[in-house]
Amino acid sequence: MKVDLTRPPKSWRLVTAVWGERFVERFLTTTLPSILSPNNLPSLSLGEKVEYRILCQRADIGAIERHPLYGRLKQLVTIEFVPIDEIQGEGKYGRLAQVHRRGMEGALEGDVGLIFLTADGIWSDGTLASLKRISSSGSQVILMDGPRVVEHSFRREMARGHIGTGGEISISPRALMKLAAEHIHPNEASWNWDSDIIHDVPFQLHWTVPGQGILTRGFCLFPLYVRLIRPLGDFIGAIDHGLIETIIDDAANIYYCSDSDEMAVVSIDAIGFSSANFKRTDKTDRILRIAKWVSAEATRQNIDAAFHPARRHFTDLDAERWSRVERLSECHLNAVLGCCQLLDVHAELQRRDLNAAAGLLAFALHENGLARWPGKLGPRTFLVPSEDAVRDWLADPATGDFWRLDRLSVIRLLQRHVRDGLVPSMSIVQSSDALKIELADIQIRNGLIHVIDRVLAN
Amino acid sequence: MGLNTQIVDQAVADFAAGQSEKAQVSLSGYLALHREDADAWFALGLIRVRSGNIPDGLTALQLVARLLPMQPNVYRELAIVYSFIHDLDRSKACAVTADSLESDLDIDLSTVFAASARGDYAQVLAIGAQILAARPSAIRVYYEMALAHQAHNDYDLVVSALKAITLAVPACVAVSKALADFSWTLKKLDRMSSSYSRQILGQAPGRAIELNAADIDSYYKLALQFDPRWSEAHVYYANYLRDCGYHDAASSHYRIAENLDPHDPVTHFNLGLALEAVGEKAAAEAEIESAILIKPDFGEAHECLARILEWKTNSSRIFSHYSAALGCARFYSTQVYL
Repeated sequence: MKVDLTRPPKSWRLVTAVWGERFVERFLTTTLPSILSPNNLPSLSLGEKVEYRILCQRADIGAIERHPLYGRLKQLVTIEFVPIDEIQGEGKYGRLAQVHRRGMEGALEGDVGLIFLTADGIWSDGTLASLKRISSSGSQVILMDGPRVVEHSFRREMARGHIGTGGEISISPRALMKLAAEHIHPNEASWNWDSDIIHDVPFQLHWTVPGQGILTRGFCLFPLYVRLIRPLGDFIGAIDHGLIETIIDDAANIYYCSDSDEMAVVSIDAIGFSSANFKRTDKTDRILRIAKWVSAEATRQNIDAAFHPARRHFTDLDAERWSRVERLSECHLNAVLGCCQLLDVHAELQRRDLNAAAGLLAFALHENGLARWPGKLGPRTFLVPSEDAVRDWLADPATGDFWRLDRLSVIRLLQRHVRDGLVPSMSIVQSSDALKIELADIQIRNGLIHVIDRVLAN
Repeated sequence: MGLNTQIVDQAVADFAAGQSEKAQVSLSGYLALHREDADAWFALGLIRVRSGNIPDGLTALQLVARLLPMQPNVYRELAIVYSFIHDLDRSKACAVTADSLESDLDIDLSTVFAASARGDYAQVLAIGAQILAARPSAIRVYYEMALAHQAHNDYDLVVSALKAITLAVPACVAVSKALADFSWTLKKLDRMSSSYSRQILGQAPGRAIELNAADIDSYYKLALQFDPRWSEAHVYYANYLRDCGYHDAASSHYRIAENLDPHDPVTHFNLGLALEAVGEKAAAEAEIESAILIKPDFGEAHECLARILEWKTNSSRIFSHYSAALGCARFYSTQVYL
């Protein structure tokens, strides 16, 4: 069947995967009460057919059904429990992906708009009303995310003023973001660009706008809303990692939530970490570490997502300040992606035993701030000096005083070996008679490498 | 009958028959391949002590206390050994620990252990809370609950649970070290959160939470007082000291750990960083090289060595170590302390 994205879906399905007593308790005390606020589920379900597919273990069903808010939920939506006891997967994330797949079954055939709700999230009042409005204007996917908060202190504070008489949590986006700022989780601190500590999995990055909020660029955003237009294929990782590129034909149909006033969520988490995720860092090292993670883990769509910043704020926006931070953050993101490109070059050189040039590049990345290499992004051609060329150059006291070069000089040196775009070897030779290409047209991701017979020192 | 039981029973029989040497050789040979077998260590410890080899017997029993931290009979034996050597303070602490642990032996914890074994930590906590309502001083329940909180990454609750029992089990090194580790980590996490929160809210930076704390220091010292040959405890304590800026003290503990376990790349690496911090670059270089020799894909060590070598003229080594660092996967370990 052909799905018409310009028309709203025929019906809606909320999907939550939850298992284990702990997460069931979180679901019942965070997700469920917050979606019952007036401008969430009550607004979404007005005149609409809505079902809620709760994927959980058989043993957990009773606890959910017994909860005081269950009756209210049942008034608004049709509830379907799907037991997941038999569903297996590689690790908890693999299992979660399989469970979500069950959550999506039948959605294409019925043209059902899928709304994924995590079991530990608190959504601001109005999130689902915004979702309904946005999804009706042609978006196939809505991506968003929210900060993580320290569970115990956040919940204490939340209980003081945001729980209604019926048990629902009704909180405005700005109040939610303010509370999040006051109870921010240490993981979020490690994703802050200016932090001297970095998380080993930097799947999102923050820039602070003091007194107003956080600008966030996320590689792995959560798909709050998904509409299938073809049968679901295989996807790698969890739904916030590899799902989106397998279900969309046109990236323009992805809606990136850019302002927390529109939709806001926080996820609660205990204060702790499962391994040594935090490492000391500085600006150069930060870029290098993020680039290593992006190179190894990020999909094309993940990278596209990072170019859609989200403003999470608790005051009116000072447009100029936010624009300035946004521009700065884009420069930082470009530096990361430029560094990714250099890491690709480095990996290829190592693979081909061009160790001298690889070593020179690795040194420059670590020590001379090449990780902060500026420049516009896009395909590039790299002219890489051969083993002999690098060794001769380093050994020549007249030209090879590499150790005394400052950062700017090293960047200039590298830039002499880079051409914008994919430049074939023939064009390189034609532009420089003296230059010999020893190995031509080595393809890398988003670039080309030619091995040349000299260091282009000046 | 399992191999373990056969070996242990035979060793005990040999010892009873007056063949102490044979019993010890047999157990030592077995333990060289089965380092985590607490029963065999316990047997070896007792045989050594009863054969008059008190220092080695003590070492074996201390290892058992690490592996089975909630077993009262281990502390009972340790109390006896310490009294042999006239270390009455430690003897008394071990006796107190044994008494405390024996006081709740009548509680059936099988459902707690079963829930823990299947990873149902919420169930561990639920059953644990029920038991504690009736028996508020049940040490082993608090310990199991601390493990469950750890599995949930609930570090503040881990600390609370361990604090509730630390006075009752002063000789329990697992409790002391864990309390130090988690208290320190919690302080770091609190510091990260609070300073970032102030930044977002636009508030002036507050006074940073001090990592240096007398209680953390005393918990590490307590653990090492009862198990001075625990290399991991020395490494963690040294990491903490380094974080507080006490590089020389940290180096001393890294060196002790290195002597106890010379094949641990992480100890060499951390010692290298501590030495680098105080300007001892040549010694630092040697330590980092040792780390790489033991673990050639130790990316952080390659990076560190390349940085230390920076001002020397051997460019090819610097290049190759930086290249290697880029090619290595991250080393996930709480002990690799940058």
